[in-house]
Amino acid sequence: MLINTSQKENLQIVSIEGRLDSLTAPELELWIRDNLASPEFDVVMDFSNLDYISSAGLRVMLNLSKAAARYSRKFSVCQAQDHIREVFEISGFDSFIPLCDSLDDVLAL
Amino acid sequence: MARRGAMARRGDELMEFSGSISTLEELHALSLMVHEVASDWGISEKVLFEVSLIVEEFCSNSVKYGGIPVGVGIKLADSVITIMITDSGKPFDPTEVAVPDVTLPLEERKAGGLGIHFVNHFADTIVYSRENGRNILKIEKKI
Repeated sequence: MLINTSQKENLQIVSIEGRLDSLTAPELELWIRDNLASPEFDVVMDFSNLDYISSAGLRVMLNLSKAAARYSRKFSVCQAQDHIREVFEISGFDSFIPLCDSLDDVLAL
Repeated sequence: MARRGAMARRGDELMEFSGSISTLEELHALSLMVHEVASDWGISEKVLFEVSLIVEEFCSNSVKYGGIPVGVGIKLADSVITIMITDSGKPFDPTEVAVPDVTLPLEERKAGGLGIHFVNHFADTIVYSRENGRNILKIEKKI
């Protein structure tokens, strides 16, 4: 799993590439602890290159959603592939994590 | 990770794969191998994802907390994928785990129970049994 980050117009974009599973989720959690503990900007996870997510990954997304809410930052997911989107929908996470098709949609939130 | 061959008899449409894992690294490697083997069987990406998820969600707890080897077998016959997950740990029936309330608002949501919730959604049948000191899970999915 690869994690990259960039900023665009007061938006922190975090791109995750590969698989977010029970093995790799702790790595993302550590990265978030080191880089996003008190988010200065709204955060979007760019999932265009994410191939797989399991409940371990959803747990990280839940914690990040709660942290963003505590700091009054928006948190969203962008360009998730269909099967990833389905996992968010089945879990009901899409009710509090917007699933956007593009960065423009994220900026318009 | 021990892998006992992938036997494919395309004529009968019987294809089998089995392996044994005891760490998260091996689970991760097994998931990648399942993906590779099953895509040779002509299974769609979507179903591959679902099978991989089912295997992970059921194996990860045993591996993380038990540290005991978990046997994973996957069979494709007559358009049904059968996944067998076995271990010799304490009796544990994952089908009894409470399903999360997915309608709760963010502040009240917990991460627990999501794994079984996904499996319930993606699998057609899930049967737990305990035999000869082993937990046995049999999951079926029509494709």
